Amino acid sequence: MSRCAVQTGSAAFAAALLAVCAPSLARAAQSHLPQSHVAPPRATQRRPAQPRATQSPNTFWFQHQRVTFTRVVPEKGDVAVALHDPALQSLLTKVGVAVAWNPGERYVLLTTPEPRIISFSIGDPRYDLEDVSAQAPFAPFVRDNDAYLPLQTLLRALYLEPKDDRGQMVLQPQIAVADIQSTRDGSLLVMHAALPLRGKRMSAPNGRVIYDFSGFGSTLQRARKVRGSAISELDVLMGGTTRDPDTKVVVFLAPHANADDGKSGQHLDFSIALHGGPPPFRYPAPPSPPPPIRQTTPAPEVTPGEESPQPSEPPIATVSDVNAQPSDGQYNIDVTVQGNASYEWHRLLDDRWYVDVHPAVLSGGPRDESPSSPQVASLRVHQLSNSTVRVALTLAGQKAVDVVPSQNGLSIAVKDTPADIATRSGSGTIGEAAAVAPAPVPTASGWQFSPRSGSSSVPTNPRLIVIDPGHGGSDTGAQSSGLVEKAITLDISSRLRSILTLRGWEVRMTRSGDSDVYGPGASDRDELQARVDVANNGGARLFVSIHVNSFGNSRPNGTTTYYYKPEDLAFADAIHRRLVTEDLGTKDDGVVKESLYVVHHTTMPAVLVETAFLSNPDDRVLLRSPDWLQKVAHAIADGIGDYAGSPRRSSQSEQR
Amino acid sequence: MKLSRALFLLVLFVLAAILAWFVVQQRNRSAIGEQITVYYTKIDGTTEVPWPITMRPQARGESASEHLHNAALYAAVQAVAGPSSTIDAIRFPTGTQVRSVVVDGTTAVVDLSAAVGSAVGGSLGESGEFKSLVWTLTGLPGINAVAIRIDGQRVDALPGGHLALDEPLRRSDW
Repeated sequence: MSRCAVQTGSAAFAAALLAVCAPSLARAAQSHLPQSHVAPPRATQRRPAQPRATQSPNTFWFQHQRVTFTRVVPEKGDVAVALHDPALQSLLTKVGVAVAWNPGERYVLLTTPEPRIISFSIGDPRYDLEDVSAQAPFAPFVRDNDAYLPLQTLLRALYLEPKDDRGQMVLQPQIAVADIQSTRDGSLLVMHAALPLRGKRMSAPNGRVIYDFSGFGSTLQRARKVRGSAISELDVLMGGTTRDPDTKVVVFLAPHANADDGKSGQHLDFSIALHGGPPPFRYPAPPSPPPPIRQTTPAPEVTPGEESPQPSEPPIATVSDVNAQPSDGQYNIDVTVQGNASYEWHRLLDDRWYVDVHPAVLSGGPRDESPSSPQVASLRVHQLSNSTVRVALTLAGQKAVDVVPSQNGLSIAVKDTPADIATRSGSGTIGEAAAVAPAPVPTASGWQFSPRSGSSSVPTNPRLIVIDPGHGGSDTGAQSSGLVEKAITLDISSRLRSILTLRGWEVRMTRSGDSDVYGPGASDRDELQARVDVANNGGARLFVSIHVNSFGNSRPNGTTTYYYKPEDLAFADAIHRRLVTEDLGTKDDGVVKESLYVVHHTTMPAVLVETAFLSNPDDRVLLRSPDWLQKVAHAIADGIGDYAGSPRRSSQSEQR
Repeated sequence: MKLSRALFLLVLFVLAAILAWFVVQQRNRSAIGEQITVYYTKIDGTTEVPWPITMRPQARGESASEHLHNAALYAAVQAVAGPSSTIDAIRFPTGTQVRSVVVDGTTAVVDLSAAVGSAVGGSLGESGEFKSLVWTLTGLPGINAVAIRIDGQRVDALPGGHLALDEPLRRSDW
């Protein structure tokens, strides 16, 4: 339906919906219709008579600048302008119009920011403004690999009206559309123009509000009775000069109604909210929803004696020494770690390799060395974040790297043998933790992990759950009102790790600090694949990615659980059921199948939980609450329990 | 007598061949009608709303494959632009343009401008954007998958994004 017709939305809105619309589409199809309601240009009256300047028909004045179309061909009563004419390209950029056309294609499609599609067809004089067809003076054609369009038709379709100003042509931006929509407590008047529309509210005598739009003419019809709540009539007054037009829109308010100052939108629009007036019929108000969070929350599952629901952080380990030396055709690096920690190693595509020890601090200063070794080009040891120490190597080519926990910490051996490049990450534990949670048996080529790809979901480590805190490091994720997605996802993930660990699961996080998983500056694919690799290469039983949703406006809210592989639906259902029944206070947005990278490419049951909306004010209140974050972690842990049982039972069933 | 009968059969055969060719041409020509269906995604993220768009019928001299290509470009531009701003819909980020559409077998390869990766949001918006594009293009006869390029380059995911773009998208991905 045309924008310049009565808009029919839902039945409730339809009665109050009215478009006060210019005959703009018709005008665009016709040519040179005089604008009868334009006030006489004041400047003309003041200035002495001047000889009429002669000007090329291809030259216009637009916003006080001369625009000359040079790649033009005279055609019937108009000129044809090449799509790649520099002046036209510049003009289209100014008015924010995108063009889709390549040589050989039939359609020249122009998209305005509103959005509105203007469609020309090569060889056909008809053109379409949205779904209204009109007739141009001649058919667009192709010459020298460029499309030629009827210039004046195109300009009018863009709401730029060519006007004669004493022999010079001026492109006057027009306000061309005014829609009146019903809202819950009145009406919304939305106007569209050729350029970003800024209006100024003026005095409001006798139930009228006047908005002044400097720099714009108008193709809107004059006084119209309208049937909107809070508004009774709309009038359009035009003044100014041809070069400096001025349009005033007068809103006649209904009794007891008022109007706001109006605001500019991103679609070349200006919206005026009108409130009050005769009260519309309202359905009885629904019962008010229960408060989102009770003041007395159930006690979180924490170790006895703890008062805080915050997850307990293990004591931090110390990386006290890194001893590197060549030996028998390989390069050995011994990392001395005092205390319990976990480690995760990653091989990057460009022969870089690193291992992160967490939670750990580096005693002594960072190191950055270039050893004279045929296996290793550089060695760097530094404190990556508050609780992560990174040992990073630049390998001298595709070298195999073995990493095994040792009595003192970690032993790394860089060998001359070719690397198994399919295995790009791995992890394990150091210290007493390694003895408590037995890790897979190391082999000559490092840890033995499951294949990187494949549909098999048989885990090699049935006790292992991989938690993926969404985003991190250079990728903040969504942000709103001081909340940052990467921090929230890490918070929930850390809480979930604590709960699952207490329940006997072995838990690995794709990141345990504010860091990129693959590394800073990695491609989007490498970053996501690195998260997948942690689960696939670790032979995990389950994969859970934690995210916070966001949208361009504040309306959407709620919790969604995403899955991709059909066989993962049961896992997603189990998680989601807990999320929506454990008194979280968010809307149930359902379990949704979606080809999200991390759930698509993991080989075990995998879900991605969008816990709430950062863009929604009610959800933001929840996301700020540590109690709520703890509840989310609990709900996910409970869902995992519902689906997979306990780790002991899970292991036994796998062995059977 | 025999000769005239043979001639009659020959003429009949030629007429049948011409008729068959004409029918095949008409069938190809009517593969895409004057109206195509563009979809937009409501902000619930799951509901696809059909939205009929009028386009030109196949032109004389325009082959069936050219017509399909033109229709695919037409449909993709409409889907990326989205419906009128007064309609509540999930939209591609402002400034996203369709650079080109190439129909390769049964896959429409859509090249988008880099602005498509400019919005930092959640799964809802990203999913809804591409869902509407995929539903629109796979509604055209002969297209059952949509591959995404950005500024002409193959991509596996959007910057800071969630959706897997390393393989062509299909309706069954949702």
